[in-house]
Amino acid sequence: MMERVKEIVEILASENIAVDHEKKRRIYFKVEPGAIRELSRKLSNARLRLSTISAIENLRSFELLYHFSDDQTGYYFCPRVYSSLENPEVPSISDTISGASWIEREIHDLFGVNFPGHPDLKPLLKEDNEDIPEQPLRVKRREDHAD
Amino acid sequence: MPTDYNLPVGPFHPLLEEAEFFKIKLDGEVVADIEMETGWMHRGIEKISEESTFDQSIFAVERICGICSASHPFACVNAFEDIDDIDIPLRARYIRSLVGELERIHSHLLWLGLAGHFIGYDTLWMWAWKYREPILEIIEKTTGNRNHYAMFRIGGVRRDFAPSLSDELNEKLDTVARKLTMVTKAAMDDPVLKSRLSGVGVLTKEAAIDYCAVGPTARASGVAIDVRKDEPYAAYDLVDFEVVVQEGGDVFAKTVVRILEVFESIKIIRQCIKALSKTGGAIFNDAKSISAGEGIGRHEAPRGEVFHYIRSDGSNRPVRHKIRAPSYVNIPTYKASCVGENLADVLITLAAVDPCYCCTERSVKMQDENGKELTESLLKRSQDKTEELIRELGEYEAWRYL
Repeated sequence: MMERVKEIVEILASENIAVDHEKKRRIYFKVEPGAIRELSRKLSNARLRLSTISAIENLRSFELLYHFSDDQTGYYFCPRVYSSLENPEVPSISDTISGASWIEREIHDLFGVNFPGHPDLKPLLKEDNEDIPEQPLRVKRREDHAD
Repeated sequence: MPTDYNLPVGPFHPLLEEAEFFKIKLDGEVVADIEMETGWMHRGIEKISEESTFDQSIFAVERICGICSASHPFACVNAFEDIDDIDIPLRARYIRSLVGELERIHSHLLWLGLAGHFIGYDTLWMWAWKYREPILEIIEKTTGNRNHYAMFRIGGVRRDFAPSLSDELNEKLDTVARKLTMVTKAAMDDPVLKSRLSGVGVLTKEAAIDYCAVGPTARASGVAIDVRKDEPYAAYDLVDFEVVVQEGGDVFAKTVVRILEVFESIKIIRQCIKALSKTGGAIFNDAKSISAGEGIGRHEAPRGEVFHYIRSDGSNRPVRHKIRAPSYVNIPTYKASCVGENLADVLITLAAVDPCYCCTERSVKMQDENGKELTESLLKRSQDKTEELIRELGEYEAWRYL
């Protein structure tokens, strides 16, 4: 494993994070919601770039997958944060990474995830558009709609 | 009299080629704050893709943008191939890079023309678009279409590159390179252009990193990132090219980056054409299914990194398909580059990140309630009206032949 990758894995180890899934240039690991702020700060200080955050509604949990790109090696480091399906809530990282602000606003807009600490969680895509239903990408809403 | 004033720009504004809404808060002539509103073009492509089969997804994402219509399928197939570690034949790798670079040239030239037009330098606009045309002709000859090439499939490409085209393509590239050298000199050494764009809309390196900016927007601020070098895919590790980086961060630096990148792309295309004349074999490896798993695919589009994340449960449709286009992270940098600027400099600063213009030409077919096409009669009505106007003006014969 490259020195640089080892360095980043050590940062994860210092936060007591174990890598749970690894394939060519992709490293996935689980992180508690409370730890994501500190980890994002450390990864950002290590010059990793946040590509985006994928919100995924699973059967029993709500999942946020952060994609941190290491542009020196082409590796992706992806912390996985699980939250409850009923009331998903994950601390905001937009104070350490300005680029996360829009991403969190969009996820809040489309999935209804709350990001405590975000300065202004106003809708990103459906502002002032009353025709679009609340949390349009949630599966539950689609099921209700189907009935 | 209050000193602050809010100026709305958009959502439909002559200088914005697509719908975006900016609320510019002014203190006199100086920008105190800028707010962006998006969502005017939201089409729910992620959801459409999740309801499509893997093969259909590629066509769906191709429609995200008409200008960079190879970028999304490129990143999308990279993501699918990442799930199953699918190998791509060498020939297909070269064809993929060839299409990607042809697209970069025409997209950068399109931007250069628009930028020239925005600052009133219409000669630059006409030059850039004139020399963009041969590139579009090459794309049409290679792929069959001027845009929406439908070249990408999981495991390779859909159409082969005809070796008989090599000479003609090289000739066209020679002409374009010669003409663009002239345009480059005219644009980069022009004292008016330099004084108009230098120091305008500066995005510092720190701000570019903080906003996670990508592509020419980041590279013009000294952030040397380029997916083609950082995580080589297709044939980018087999060809020789430089990553163009400038330190200025202003609109001029962004212009220089894009112009010089065009020459790097020409270099890559020539190498691909040469390699394709020597490389035989299949153009795709047949992938019958995608197993359960997750994959990340990306591509260095003309505007920066396109990111696709796909999760599969082993069925024939993705359970989650997350797409992040480069403009999504580049547009928020306006907060850093526009505040403190003079109002007159704001619009060119907005244009400088090349926000993705998805207003491709569309053909409209109008039908009446019985299914009869009205398009022809509308055209005829327009012609009749012109005839009528000419008659009213008198001297019918003279006007007709003008």
